[in-house]
Amino acid sequence: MSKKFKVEVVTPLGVVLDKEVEEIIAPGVMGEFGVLIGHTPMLTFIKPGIFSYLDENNEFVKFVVGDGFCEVLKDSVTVLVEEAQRTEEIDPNEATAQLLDLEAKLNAIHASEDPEEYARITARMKMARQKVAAAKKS
Amino acid sequence: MPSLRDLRKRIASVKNTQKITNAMKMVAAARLRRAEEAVTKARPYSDRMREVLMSLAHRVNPSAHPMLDVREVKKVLLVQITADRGLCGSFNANLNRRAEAFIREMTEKGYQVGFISVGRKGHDYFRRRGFAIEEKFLNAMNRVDYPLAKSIADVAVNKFAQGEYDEVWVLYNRFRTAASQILTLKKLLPIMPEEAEPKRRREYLYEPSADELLTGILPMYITVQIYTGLLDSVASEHGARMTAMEAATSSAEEMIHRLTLRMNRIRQETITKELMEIVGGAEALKG
Repeated sequence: MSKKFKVEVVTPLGVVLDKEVEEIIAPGVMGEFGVLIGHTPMLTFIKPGIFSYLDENNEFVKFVVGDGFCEVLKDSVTVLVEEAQRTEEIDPNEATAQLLDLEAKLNAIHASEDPEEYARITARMKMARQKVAAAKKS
Repeated sequence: MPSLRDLRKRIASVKNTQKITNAMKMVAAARLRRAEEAVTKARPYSDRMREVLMSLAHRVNPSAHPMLDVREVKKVLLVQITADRGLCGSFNANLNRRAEAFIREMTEKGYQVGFISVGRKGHDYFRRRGFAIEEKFLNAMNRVDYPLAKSIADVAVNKFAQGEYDEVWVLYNRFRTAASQILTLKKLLPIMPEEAEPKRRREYLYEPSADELLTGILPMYITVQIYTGLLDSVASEHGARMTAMEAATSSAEEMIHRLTLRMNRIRQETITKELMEIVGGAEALKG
């Protein structure tokens, strides 16, 4: 029996990954989790972090992903996230600039005045930080 | 009767207009292609989201969730998505007319209507009529992205969750083909779990609980709905503009043709008249 299962990473900008793999590791809200074939069907949230799968050469291919959720079924895994980008494709300068830009925006408003905007920006900053960290590593 | 000079000027001016409309048509066509692609790319995400949400919604008690909760209606919120710019045929006019009809209909039922404007054209129309606008998102249609949809969805979801409004509707042009848009009005909130059982009933482990998951996924679902609405609207706008400019270009062509005919006729008339005069003068001299 094949040890592989189908994994899909889908964002509003399109399908980022659609592949048969042996193993994935995803950043769940309750902590990072790995999935191999035959995993119990499960539904859980994904928080900004690193999602990776094992490729043919037994190396992990990494993606930075944003908020979303992950559905594990018997023979497939679907990851629905707001954003997903291969770590190698991240431009460190751009990622840093984005983070600084968000920081500036955050400083311009106060949590008490516009709590919703504040929450939105902090959420986007988490994602930006992940990108910067990932860009530095690769 | 217009003089030859006037006609020539007129033709030149129509030709210039035609150049502009033709250029606008090309730009709209290029943008349409990109917008259509975005619509197609967003589809898998929204379809999946819908599937998961519906299977979840069947599993939990609807009254336990503020966003599935059907309340007695007193106030309804309308999110209208229009274009920022004109020159796209009846694109904006249709939206505004439909929105007005909706407001009238709701007012007759005794509901109060709140209004969120996305796109300058709808905003300007209702502001001129002295209509109170709750929230506006202007000049955003040329860079529609997910964070924009999120801000709009946040406003709508919060107003609904806090009980300020009991229903949220969205009105936009759905993209079908470049030449046809479908005016779409649909209820966003409260979310109605579809009657039909989901295709595959799913049994799985929930982490955290199914309730918490539903609470988290519902706003994402609304965001996706708004996002696809925005994308559809953008594609429709470019489609409508392309069609309108196409029509304008061919009208200009026709006008140039008519004017040229008229100019030629006048020129001939003048020549004939001059010839007659010359002949007449020569005859007189002979006398």
